[in-house]
Amino acid sequence: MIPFNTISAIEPAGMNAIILYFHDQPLLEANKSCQRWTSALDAISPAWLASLLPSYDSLVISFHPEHTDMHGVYRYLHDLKTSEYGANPKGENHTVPVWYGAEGADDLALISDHTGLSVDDIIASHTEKPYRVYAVGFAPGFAYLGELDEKLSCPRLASPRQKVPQGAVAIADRQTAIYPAESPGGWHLLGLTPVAMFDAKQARSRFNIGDTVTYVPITKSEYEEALHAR
Amino acid sequence: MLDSAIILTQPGLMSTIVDNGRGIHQQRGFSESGPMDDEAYYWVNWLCGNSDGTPAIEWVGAAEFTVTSDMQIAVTGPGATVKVNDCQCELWVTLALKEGDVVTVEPEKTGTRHYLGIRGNWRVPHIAGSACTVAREGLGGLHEDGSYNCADDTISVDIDSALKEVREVPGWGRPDYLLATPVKVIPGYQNAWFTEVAKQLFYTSSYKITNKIDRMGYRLSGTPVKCARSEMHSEGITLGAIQCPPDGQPIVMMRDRQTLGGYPKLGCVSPTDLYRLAQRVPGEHVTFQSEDADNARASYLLRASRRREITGS
Repeated sequence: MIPFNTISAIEPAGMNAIILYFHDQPLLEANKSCQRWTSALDAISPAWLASLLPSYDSLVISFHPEHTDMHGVYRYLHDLKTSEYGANPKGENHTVPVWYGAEGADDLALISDHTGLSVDDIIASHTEKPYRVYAVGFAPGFAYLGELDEKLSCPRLASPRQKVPQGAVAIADRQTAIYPAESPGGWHLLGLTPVAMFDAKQARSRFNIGDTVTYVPITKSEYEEALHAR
Repeated sequence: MLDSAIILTQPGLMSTIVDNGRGIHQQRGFSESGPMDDEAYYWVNWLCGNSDGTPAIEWVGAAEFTVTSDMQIAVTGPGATVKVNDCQCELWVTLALKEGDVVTVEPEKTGTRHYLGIRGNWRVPHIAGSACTVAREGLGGLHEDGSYNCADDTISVDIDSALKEVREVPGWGRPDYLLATPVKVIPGYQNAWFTEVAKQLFYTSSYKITNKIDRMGYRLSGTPVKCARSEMHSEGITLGAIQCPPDGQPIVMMRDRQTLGGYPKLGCVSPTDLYRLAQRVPGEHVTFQSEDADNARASYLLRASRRREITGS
Protein backbone atom coordinates (compact mmCIF):
# COMPACT_ATOMS: atom_id res chain seq x y z
CA MET A 1 0.00 0.00 0.00
CA ILE A 2 1.70 3.12 -1.29
CA PRO A 3 1.42 6.11 1.06
CA PHE A 4 -0.14 9.34 -0.21
CA ASN A 5 -0.68 12.93 0.92
CA THR A 6 0.79 13.45 4.40
CA ILE A 7 0.83 9.70 5.15
CA SER A 8 4.42 8.41 5.36
CA ALA A 9 3.67 4.69 5.59
CA ILE A 10 0.75 2.24 5.82
CA GLU A 11 1.18 -1.14 7.54
CA PRO A 12 -1.17 -3.97 8.46
CA ALA A 13 -2.20 -4.01 12.14
CA GLY A 14 -3.75 -7.48 12.15
CA MET A 15 -6.24 -9.27 9.87
CA ASN A 16 -8.76 -6.43 10.01
CA ALA A 17 -6.84 -3.21 10.66
CA ILE A 18 -4.25 -0.91 9.12
CA ILE A 19 -2.08 1.74 10.74
CA LEU A 20 -1.32 5.05 9.02
CA TYR A 21 1.93 6.78 9.99
CA PHE A 22 2.64 10.50 9.60
CA HIS A 23 6.38 10.43 10.29
CA ASP A 24 7.44 12.89 7.60
CA GLN A 25 5.94 15.87 9.43
CA PRO A 26 6.88 17.66 12.66
CA LEU A 27 4.98 16.16 15.62
CA LEU A 28 2.36 18.91 15.85
CA GLU A 29 1.55 18.68 12.12
CA ALA A 30 1.54 14.87 12.26
CA ASN A 31 -0.91 15.00 15.16
CA LYS A 32 -3.16 17.38 13.21
CA SER A 33 -3.17 14.91 10.31
CA CYS A 34 -4.30 12.15 12.73
CA GLN A 35 -7.02 14.42 14.03
CA ARG A 36 -8.18 15.29 10.50
CA TRP A 37 -8.49 11.65 9.40
CA THR A 38 -10.10 10.65 12.69
CA SER A 39 -12.74 13.37 12.62
CA ALA A 40 -13.54 12.75 8.93
CA LEU A 41 -14.01 9.00 9.47
CA ASP A 42 -15.93 9.65 12.69
CA ALA A 43 -18.28 12.03 10.85
CA ILE A 44 -18.91 9.70 7.89
CA SER A 45 -18.93 6.54 10.02
CA PRO A 46 -18.79 4.13 7.05
CA ALA A 47 -20.50 0.74 7.61
CA TRP A 48 -17.16 -1.09 7.46
CA LEU A 49 -15.59 0.95 10.28
CA ALA A 50 -15.02 -1.00 13.54
CA SER A 51 -12.77 1.35 15.54
CA LEU A 52 -10.27 4.21 15.37
CA LEU A 53 -7.16 4.52 17.53
CA PRO A 54 -5.49 7.89 16.92
CA SER A 55 -2.22 8.66 18.71
CA TYR A 56 0.69 11.10 18.45
CA ASP A 57 1.71 10.44 14.85
CA SER A 58 -0.29 7.36 13.83
CA LEU A 59 -3.86 6.18 13.35
CA VAL A 60 -5.13 2.59 13.57
CA ILE A 61 -8.26 1.98 11.47
CA SER A 62 -10.04 -1.34 12.19
CA PHE A 63 -12.75 -2.67 9.86
CA HIS A 64 -15.41 -5.36 9.82
CA PRO A 65 -13.97 -8.15 7.64
CA GLU A 66 -17.46 -9.11 6.39
CA HIS A 67 -17.72 -5.67 4.76
CA THR A 68 -14.34 -5.05 3.19
CA ASP A 69 -10.63 -5.88 3.22
CA MET A 70 -7.41 -3.85 3.54
CA HIS A 71 -7.39 -2.96 -0.13
CA GLY A 72 -10.97 -1.74 0.09
CA VAL A 73 -10.11 0.48 3.06
CA TYR A 74 -7.02 1.76 1.27
CA ARG A 75 -9.08 2.66 -1.80
CA TYR A 76 -11.70 4.32 0.37
CA LEU A 77 -9.10 6.49 2.14
CA HIS A 78 -7.42 7.32 -1.15
CA ASP A 79 -10.70 8.57 -2.64
CA LEU A 80 -11.79 10.38 0.52
CA LYS A 81 -11.46 14.14 0.49
CA THR A 82 -10.88 14.71 4.19
CA SER A 83 -11.01 18.45 3.53
CA GLU A 84 -14.75 18.19 2.92
CA TYR A 85 -15.20 17.09 6.51
CA GLY A 86 -13.50 20.04 8.16
CA ALA A 87 -9.96 20.69 6.94
CA ASN A 88 -8.74 21.65 10.37
CA PRO A 89 -11.27 20.49 12.94
CA LYS A 90 -11.24 22.86 15.90
CA GLY A 91 -10.72 21.20 19.21
CA GLU A 92 -12.44 22.42 22.36
CA ASN A 93 -10.65 24.68 24.84
CA HIS A 94 -10.79 23.52 28.46
CA THR A 95 -9.79 25.16 31.72
CA VAL A 96 -8.74 22.78 34.46
CA PRO A 97 -8.47 24.02 38.06
CA VAL A 98 -5.63 22.48 40.07
CA TRP A 99 -4.90 22.49 43.79
CA TYR A 100 -1.11 22.45 43.50
CA GLY A 101 0.72 20.64 46.29
CA ALA A 102 -2.42 18.76 47.37
CA GLU A 103 -1.97 16.19 50.12
CA GLY A 104 -1.28 12.75 48.64
CA ALA A 105 -0.34 14.20 45.23
CA ASP A 106 2.64 16.40 45.98
CA ASP A 107 6.01 15.79 44.33
CA LEU A 108 6.77 19.52 44.09
CA ALA A 109 9.91 19.15 46.26
CA LEU A 110 11.18 16.27 44.07
CA ILE A 111 10.47 18.26 40.90
CA SER A 112 12.23 21.24 42.42
CA ASP A 113 15.31 19.06 43.06
CA HIS A 114 15.26 17.81 39.45
CA THR A 115 14.69 21.10 37.71
CA GLY A 116 16.23 23.62 40.08
CA LEU A 117 13.00 25.64 39.90
CA SER A 118 11.23 26.99 42.97
CA VAL A 119 7.70 25.69 43.69
CA ASP A 120 6.24 29.02 42.53
CA ASP A 121 8.21 28.83 39.27
CA ILE A 122 7.02 25.25 38.68
CA ILE A 123 3.38 26.33 39.07
CA ALA A 124 3.92 29.45 36.95
CA SER A 125 5.50 27.40 34.16
CA HIS A 126 2.81 24.70 34.26
CA THR A 127 -0.01 27.27 34.02
CA GLU A 128 1.58 29.68 31.56
CA LYS A 129 0.24 28.22 28.27
CA PRO A 130 -2.45 25.96 26.83
CA TYR A 131 -1.45 22.35 26.09
CA ARG A 132 -2.61 20.27 23.16
CA VAL A 133 -4.25 16.83 23.62
CA TYR A 134 -1.97 14.61 21.53
CA ALA A 135 -3.64 11.32 22.40
CA VAL A 136 -6.28 9.74 24.63
CA GLY A 137 -5.59 6.20 25.76
CA PHE A 138 -3.85 3.82 28.13
CA ALA A 139 -6.90 4.09 30.43
CA PRO A 140 -10.43 5.52 29.92
CA GLY A 141 -10.17 9.31 29.64
CA PHE A 142 -6.38 9.44 30.10
CA ALA A 143 -5.15 12.32 27.90
CA TYR A 144 -1.53 12.94 26.94
CA LEU A 145 -0.99 16.73 26.85
CA GLY A 146 2.04 18.53 25.48
CA GLU A 147 4.43 19.98 25.31
CA LEU A 148 5.80 21.18 28.64
CA ASP A 149 8.47 23.85 28.72
CA GLU A 150 11.87 22.17 28.47
CA LYS A 151 12.88 23.52 31.89
CA LEU A 152 10.00 21.62 33.57
CA SER A 153 10.93 18.28 31.96
CA CYS A 154 11.26 15.49 34.55
CA PRO A 155 12.01 11.78 34.09
CA ARG A 156 9.56 9.13 35.35
CA LEU A 157 9.94 7.90 38.93
CA ALA A 158 12.55 5.18 39.37
CA SER A 159 9.84 2.87 40.66
CA PRO A 160 6.16 3.54 39.90
CA ARG A 161 3.70 4.20 42.74
CA GLN A 162 1.16 1.50 43.49
CA LYS A 163 -1.57 4.10 43.91
CA VAL A 164 -1.94 7.49 42.29
CA PRO A 165 -5.18 9.20 43.41
CA GLN A 166 -8.02 10.05 41.03
CA GLY A 167 -7.63 13.54 39.60
CA ALA A 168 -3.86 13.71 40.13
CA VAL A 169 -2.17 16.16 37.75
CA ALA A 170 1.18 14.78 36.67
CA ILE A 171 4.20 15.39 34.46
CA ALA A 172 6.77 13.17 32.72
CA ASP A 173 9.35 14.23 30.15
CA ARG A 174 7.59 16.98 28.20
CA GLN A 175 4.09 15.65 28.80
CA THR A 176 1.44 16.41 31.36
CA ALA A 177 -1.70 14.40 32.18
CA ILE A 178 -4.49 13.88 34.68
CA TYR A 179 -5.14 10.43 36.20
CA PRO A 180 -8.86 9.80 35.48
CA ALA A 181 -9.09 7.08 38.16
CA GLU A 182 -6.95 5.74 40.98
CA SER A 183 -4.25 3.61 39.39
CA PRO A 184 -0.55 2.74 39.56
CA GLY A 185 1.65 5.35 37.90
CA GLY A 186 5.20 6.53 37.45
CA TRP A 187 4.78 10.25 36.77
CA HIS A 188 5.66 13.12 39.12
CA LEU A 189 2.58 14.63 40.76
CA LEU A 190 1.80 18.35 40.97
CA GLY A 191 -1.60 18.33 42.67
CA LEU A 192 -5.26 17.43 42.30
CA THR A 193 -8.13 18.58 40.11
CA PRO A 194 -11.80 18.18 41.08
CA VAL A 195 -12.82 17.80 37.41
CA ALA A 196 -14.00 14.34 36.24
CA MET A 197 -12.05 13.11 33.23
CA PHE A 198 -14.59 10.68 31.84
CA ASP A 199 -18.17 9.62 32.10
CA ALA A 200 -18.20 5.83 32.12
CA LYS A 201 -21.97 5.47 31.64
CA GLN A 202 -21.99 7.67 28.54
CA ALA A 203 -18.56 6.44 27.38
CA ARG A 204 -17.42 10.05 27.07
CA SER A 205 -13.96 11.41 27.61
CA ARG A 206 -13.72 15.06 28.67
CA PHE A 207 -10.77 15.62 26.34
CA ASN A 208 -10.34 14.48 22.77
CA ILE A 209 -7.41 14.62 20.37
CA GLY A 210 -6.81 18.21 19.22
CA ASP A 211 -8.42 19.88 22.25
CA THR A 212 -6.44 22.41 24.30
CA VAL A 213 -6.19 22.52 28.09
CA THR A 214 -5.12 25.37 30.35
CA TYR A 215 -4.39 24.76 34.04
CA VAL A 216 -5.44 27.33 36.66
CA PRO A 217 -4.33 27.22 40.31
CA ILE A 218 -7.01 26.99 43.03
CA THR A 219 -6.91 26.74 46.82
CA LYS A 220 -7.69 23.71 48.94
CA SER A 221 -11.11 25.10 49.92
CA GLU A 222 -11.99 25.87 46.30
CA TYR A 223 -10.97 22.31 45.42
CA GLU A 224 -13.15 20.84 48.16
CA GLU A 225 -16.09 23.00 47.19
CA ALA A 226 -15.83 21.97 43.53
CA LEU A 227 -15.48 18.30 44.44
CA HIS A 228 -18.54 18.57 46.65
CA ALA A 229 -20.59 20.24 43.90
CA ARG A 230 -19.67 17.53 41.35
CA MET B 1 -42.66 -13.39 31.68
CA LEU B 2 -40.83 -15.33 34.37
CA ASP B 3 -38.41 -13.77 36.80
CA SER B 4 -35.49 -16.11 36.82
CA ALA B 5 -32.08 -15.98 38.36
CA ILE B 6 -28.90 -17.97 38.61
CA ILE B 7 -26.84 -17.88 41.80
CA LEU B 8 -23.07 -18.15 41.46
CA THR B 9 -22.66 -20.42 44.48
CA GLN B 10 -19.00 -20.94 43.48
CA PRO B 11 -18.05 -18.39 40.82
CA GLY B 12 -14.66 -19.93 39.96
CA LEU B 13 -11.47 -17.89 39.60
CA MET B 14 -11.30 -14.58 37.70
CA SER B 15 -15.01 -14.91 37.02
CA THR B 16 -16.15 -12.08 34.74
CA ILE B 17 -19.08 -10.98 32.61
CA VAL B 18 -18.23 -10.90 28.90
CA ASP B 19 -20.01 -9.74 25.75
CA ASN B 20 -18.82 -8.23 22.47
CA GLY B 21 -16.98 -5.48 24.33
CA ARG B 22 -16.29 -1.78 23.88
CA GLY B 23 -14.54 -1.80 20.49
CA ILE B 24 -15.83 1.55 19.26
CA HIS B 25 -15.04 3.30 22.57
CA GLN B 26 -11.32 2.47 22.45
CA GLN B 27 -10.90 5.95 21.00
CA ARG B 28 -11.79 7.30 24.46
CA GLY B 29 -9.31 4.97 26.17
CA PHE B 30 -11.65 2.09 27.06
CA SER B 31 -10.24 -1.42 26.69
CA GLU B 32 -11.78 -3.44 23.88
CA SER B 33 -12.56 -6.27 26.36
CA GLY B 34 -14.70 -9.27 25.34
CA PRO B 35 -14.31 -13.06 25.55
CA MET B 36 -10.80 -14.55 25.57
CA ASP B 37 -12.18 -17.61 23.72
CA ASP B 38 -14.54 -16.06 21.16
CA GLU B 39 -15.47 -19.48 19.73
CA ALA B 40 -16.78 -20.81 23.06
CA TYR B 41 -18.56 -17.48 23.67
CA TYR B 42 -20.25 -17.45 20.27
CA TRP B 43 -21.56 -21.00 20.63
CA VAL B 44 -22.72 -20.70 24.24
CA ASN B 45 -25.21 -18.03 23.20
CA TRP B 46 -26.37 -19.93 20.11
CA LEU B 47 -26.99 -22.99 22.31
CA CYS B 48 -29.24 -20.81 24.50
CA GLY B 49 -31.02 -19.28 21.51
CA ASN B 50 -29.67 -15.85 22.46
CA SER B 51 -28.60 -13.26 19.94
CA ASP B 52 -24.86 -12.78 19.45
CA GLY B 53 -23.61 -10.20 21.94
CA THR B 54 -25.73 -11.42 24.88
CA PRO B 55 -23.56 -11.54 28.02
CA ALA B 56 -22.07 -14.78 29.34
CA ILE B 57 -19.89 -15.71 32.30
CA GLU B 58 -16.20 -16.49 31.73
CA TRP B 59 -14.18 -18.13 34.48
CA VAL B 60 -11.19 -20.36 35.29
CA GLY B 61 -11.29 -23.49 37.47
CA ALA B 62 -14.19 -25.29 39.13
CA ALA B 63 -17.54 -23.52 39.49
CA GLU B 64 -21.05 -24.17 40.79
CA PHE B 65 -24.34 -22.49 39.88
CA THR B 66 -27.86 -22.84 41.31
CA VAL B 67 -31.01 -21.80 39.44
CA THR B 68 -34.11 -20.32 41.06
CA SER B 69 -36.56 -21.39 38.34
CA ASP B 70 -36.82 -23.54 35.22
CA MET B 71 -34.32 -22.23 32.69
CA GLN B 72 -32.05 -23.21 29.81
CA ILE B 73 -28.30 -22.85 29.98
CA ALA B 74 -25.18 -24.15 28.22
CA VAL B 75 -21.52 -24.62 29.07
CA THR B 76 -18.70 -24.43 26.50
CA GLY B 77 -14.93 -24.51 26.53
CA PRO B 78 -12.22 -27.20 26.55
CA GLY B 79 -12.72 -30.60 28.25
CA ALA B 80 -14.58 -30.53 31.56
CA THR B 81 -16.96 -32.62 33.62
CA VAL B 82 -20.40 -30.99 33.79
CA LYS B 83 -22.96 -32.27 36.26
CA VAL B 84 -26.55 -31.30 37.02
CA ASN B 85 -27.40 -32.56 40.53
CA ASP B 86 -24.66 -35.20 40.24
CA CYS B 87 -25.91 -36.46 36.86
CA GLN B 88 -23.24 -36.15 34.22
CA CYS B 89 -24.12 -33.87 31.29
CA GLU B 90 -22.39 -32.60 28.17
CA LEU B 91 -20.69 -29.42 27.10
CA TRP B 92 -21.76 -27.89 23.74
CA VAL B 93 -25.47 -28.77 24.22
CA THR B 94 -28.52 -26.92 25.56
CA LEU B 95 -29.24 -27.98 29.16
CA ALA B 96 -32.83 -27.63 30.43
CA LEU B 97 -32.81 -27.08 34.20
CA LYS B 98 -35.54 -27.24 36.83
CA GLU B 99 -35.96 -24.88 39.75
CA GLY B 100 -33.32 -25.59 42.40
CA ASP B 101 -30.98 -27.55 40.10
CA VAL B 102 -27.28 -27.29 40.87
CA VAL B 103 -24.75 -27.26 38.01
CA THR B 104 -21.08 -27.98 38.61
CA VAL B 105 -18.23 -27.64 36.13
CA GLU B 106 -14.86 -29.30 36.81
CA PRO B 107 -12.25 -28.61 34.11
CA GLU B 108 -9.93 -31.45 33.09
CA LYS B 109 -6.96 -29.11 33.00
CA THR B 110 -6.11 -26.34 35.47
CA GLY B 111 -6.17 -22.88 33.93
CA THR B 112 -8.56 -23.23 31.00
CA ARG B 113 -11.46 -20.81 30.53
CA HIS B 114 -15.10 -21.86 30.46
CA TYR B 115 -18.31 -20.10 29.50
CA LEU B 116 -21.83 -20.25 30.88
CA GLY B 117 -24.73 -18.97 28.79
CA ILE B 118 -28.25 -18.41 30.09
CA ARG B 119 -31.31 -18.08 27.86
CA GLY B 120 -32.99 -14.71 28.24
CA ASN B 121 -32.31 -11.01 28.53
CA TRP B 122 -29.65 -10.43 31.17
CA ARG B 123 -30.44 -7.74 33.72
CA VAL B 124 -26.87 -6.64 34.31
CA PRO B 125 -25.33 -3.16 34.39
CA HIS B 126 -23.88 -1.76 31.17
CA ILE B 127 -21.04 0.76 30.94
CA ALA B 128 -20.01 2.25 27.60
CA GLY B 129 -22.35 -0.08 25.76
CA SER B 130 -21.05 -3.28 27.33
CA ALA B 131 -21.48 -5.45 30.43
CA CYS B 132 -17.82 -6.59 30.39
CA THR B 133 -15.88 -6.69 33.67
CA VAL B 134 -12.47 -5.05 33.22
CA ALA B 135 -10.42 -5.57 36.38
CA ARG B 136 -7.53 -3.42 35.13
CA GLU B 137 -9.82 -0.40 34.64
CA GLY B 138 -11.90 -0.98 37.78
CA LEU B 139 -14.91 -0.73 35.51
CA GLY B 140 -17.91 -2.83 34.48
CA GLY B 141 -19.22 -6.19 35.62
CA LEU B 142 -21.89 -7.10 38.17
CA HIS B 143 -20.50 -4.65 40.73
CA GLU B 144 -19.73 -1.95 38.11
CA ASP B 145 -16.24 -1.53 39.58
CA GLY B 146 -14.33 -4.15 37.62
CA SER B 147 -14.29 -6.60 40.53
CA TYR B 148 -14.71 -10.30 39.75
CA ASN B 149 -18.01 -12.07 40.30
CA CYS B 150 -18.08 -13.30 43.89
CA ALA B 151 -19.74 -16.16 45.74
CA ASP B 152 -23.53 -15.88 45.87
CA ASP B 153 -23.73 -13.09 43.29
CA THR B 154 -27.02 -13.41 41.44
CA ILE B 155 -27.78 -12.79 37.78
CA SER B 156 -31.43 -12.16 36.87
CA VAL B 157 -32.74 -12.76 33.39
CA ASP B 158 -36.07 -12.07 31.70
CA ILE B 159 -37.23 -15.10 29.74
CA ASP B 160 -39.82 -14.33 27.07
CA SER B 161 -40.17 -17.97 26.05
CA ALA B 162 -38.28 -21.23 26.36
CA LEU B 163 -36.19 -22.49 23.47
CA LYS B 164 -38.31 -25.16 21.74
CA GLU B 165 -35.48 -27.48 20.75
CA VAL B 166 -32.32 -28.82 22.36
CA ARG B 167 -29.36 -27.53 20.37
CA GLU B 168 -25.97 -29.17 19.97
CA VAL B 169 -22.81 -28.04 18.25
CA PRO B 170 -21.76 -31.05 16.11
CA GLY B 171 -18.26 -32.39 16.65
CA TRP B 172 -16.96 -30.96 13.36
CA GLY B 173 -18.15 -27.48 14.31
CA ARG B 174 -16.52 -27.35 17.74
CA PRO B 175 -13.26 -25.44 18.16
CA ASP B 176 -10.10 -27.48 18.03
CA TYR B 177 -8.19 -26.71 21.21
CA LEU B 178 -5.06 -28.63 20.24
CA LEU B 179 -1.93 -26.71 19.42
CA ALA B 180 -0.78 -29.27 16.86
CA THR B 181 -0.52 -26.58 14.19
CA PRO B 182 1.28 -23.24 14.61
CA VAL B 183 -0.64 -20.10 15.52
CA LYS B 184 -0.92 -17.79 12.48
CA VAL B 185 0.61 -14.31 12.63
CA ILE B 186 -0.05 -11.45 10.24
CA PRO B 187 3.20 -9.42 9.96
CA GLY B 188 2.69 -5.69 10.39
CA TYR B 189 3.40 -2.61 12.49
CA GLN B 190 7.23 -2.44 13.02
CA ASN B 191 7.85 -5.76 11.22
CA ALA B 192 10.48 -4.07 9.04
CA TRP B 193 12.48 -3.03 12.12
CA PHE B 194 13.29 -6.67 12.92
CA THR B 195 16.17 -8.34 11.10
CA GLU B 196 15.51 -11.36 8.86
CA VAL B 197 17.47 -13.45 11.36
CA ALA B 198 15.31 -12.27 14.28
CA LYS B 199 12.13 -13.10 12.33
CA GLN B 200 13.49 -16.51 11.26
CA LEU B 201 14.22 -17.29 14.91
CA PHE B 202 10.75 -16.22 15.99
CA TYR B 203 8.96 -18.34 13.39
CA THR B 204 11.10 -21.44 13.98
CA SER B 205 11.28 -21.38 17.80
CA SER B 206 8.90 -22.81 20.33
CA TYR B 207 7.74 -20.40 23.06
CA LYS B 208 6.68 -21.35 26.54
CA ILE B 209 3.57 -19.83 28.10
CA THR B 210 4.78 -18.21 31.35
CA ASN B 211 2.68 -17.74 34.48
CA LYS B 212 2.41 -14.03 33.63
CA ILE B 213 -0.76 -14.40 31.61
CA ASP B 214 -4.03 -12.59 32.12
CA ARG B 215 -6.83 -10.97 30.14
CA MET B 216 -4.49 -8.10 29.27
CA GLY B 217 -1.60 -10.04 27.76
CA TYR B 218 0.26 -13.36 27.53
CA ARG B 219 3.98 -13.21 28.25
CA LEU B 220 5.96 -15.89 26.46
CA SER B 221 9.49 -17.07 27.08
CA GLY B 222 11.99 -18.47 24.62
CA THR B 223 14.45 -17.28 21.99
CA PRO B 224 14.59 -13.48 22.38
CA VAL B 225 13.25 -11.44 19.45
CA LYS B 226 15.41 -8.35 19.54
CA CYS B 227 14.48 -5.19 17.76
CA ALA B 228 17.27 -2.87 16.64
CA ARG B 229 15.19 0.25 17.29
CA SER B 230 13.05 1.11 20.26
CA GLU B 231 12.32 4.84 20.20
CA MET B 232 8.77 5.42 19.04
CA HIS B 233 5.64 7.26 20.06
CA SER B 234 2.83 5.29 21.66
CA GLU B 235 0.41 3.97 19.05
CA GLY B 236 -2.84 1.99 18.87
CA ILE B 237 -2.57 -1.68 19.84
CA THR B 238 -4.92 -4.12 18.12
CA LEU B 239 -6.08 -7.54 19.35
CA GLY B 240 -3.35 -10.19 19.26
CA ALA B 241 -0.50 -7.71 18.66
CA ILE B 242 2.90 -9.23 19.49
CA GLN B 243 4.99 -6.72 21.45
CA CYS B 244 8.72 -7.20 21.80
CA PRO B 245 10.07 -5.20 24.76
CA PRO B 246 13.83 -4.66 25.12
CA ASP B 247 14.39 -8.10 26.71
CA GLY B 248 13.01 -9.68 23.50
CA GLN B 249 10.45 -11.89 25.29
CA PRO B 250 7.22 -11.51 23.30
CA ILE B 251 3.93 -10.41 24.86
CA VAL B 252 0.71 -11.18 22.98
CA MET B 253 -1.83 -8.46 23.71
CA MET B 254 -5.25 -9.81 24.63
CA ARG B 255 -8.80 -8.47 25.24
CA ASP B 256 -8.19 -6.17 28.22
CA ARG B 257 -5.00 -4.60 26.78
CA GLN B 258 -4.45 -0.86 27.08
CA THR B 259 -5.40 1.01 23.89
CA LEU B 260 -1.99 2.68 23.31
CA GLY B 261 1.55 1.46 23.86
CA GLY B 262 5.10 2.12 22.78
CA TYR B 263 6.86 -1.23 22.28
CA PRO B 264 7.78 -2.42 18.76
CA LYS B 265 5.41 -5.05 17.38
CA LEU B 266 6.12 -7.87 14.91
CA GLY B 267 2.52 -8.29 13.84
CA CYS B 268 -0.69 -9.76 15.19
CA VAL B 269 -2.04 -13.23 15.90
CA SER B 270 -4.87 -14.04 13.47
CA PRO B 271 -8.26 -13.58 15.20
CA THR B 272 -9.34 -17.10 14.18
CA ASP B 273 -6.34 -18.56 16.04
CA LEU B 274 -6.38 -16.38 19.14
CA TYR B 275 -8.78 -18.62 21.10
CA ARG B 276 -6.27 -21.48 20.91
CA LEU B 277 -3.60 -19.31 22.48
CA ALA B 278 -6.09 -17.97 25.07
CA GLN B 279 -6.81 -21.54 26.21
CA ARG B 280 -3.14 -22.43 26.75
CA VAL B 281 -1.91 -22.71 30.33
CA PRO B 282 1.50 -21.93 31.89
CA GLY B 283 4.19 -24.42 30.90
CA GLU B 284 2.65 -25.30 27.53
CA HIS B 285 4.35 -24.34 24.28
CA VAL B 286 3.29 -22.49 21.16
CA THR B 287 4.83 -21.98 17.71
CA PHE B 288 4.03 -19.32 15.13
CA GLN B 289 3.71 -19.17 11.36
CA SER B 290 3.35 -16.05 9.24
CA GLU B 291 0.30 -15.59 7.06
CA ASP B 292 -0.74 -12.65 4.89
CA ALA B 293 -3.81 -10.62 5.81
CA ASP B 294 -5.85 -11.78 2.80
CA ASN B 295 -5.45 -15.44 3.74
CA ALA B 296 -6.26 -14.64 7.37
CA ARG B 297 -9.43 -12.87 6.24
CA ALA B 298 -10.36 -15.86 4.03
CA SER B 299 -10.06 -18.13 7.11
CA TYR B 300 -12.29 -15.75 9.04
CA LEU B 301 -14.97 -15.72 6.32
CA LEU B 302 -14.75 -19.51 5.99
CA ARG B 303 -15.34 -19.84 9.72
CA ALA B 304 -18.41 -17.60 9.40
CA SER B 305 -19.84 -19.77 6.61
CA ARG B 306 -19.17 -22.97 8.61
CA ARG B 307 -21.06 -21.40 11.50
CA ARG B 308 -24.00 -20.61 9.21
CA GLU B 309 -24.12 -24.25 8.08
CA ILE B 310 -24.81 -25.19 11.70
CA THR B 311 -26.98 -22.30 12.79
CA GLY B 312 -28.93 -22.16 9.51
CA SER B 313 -29.00 -18.36 9.61
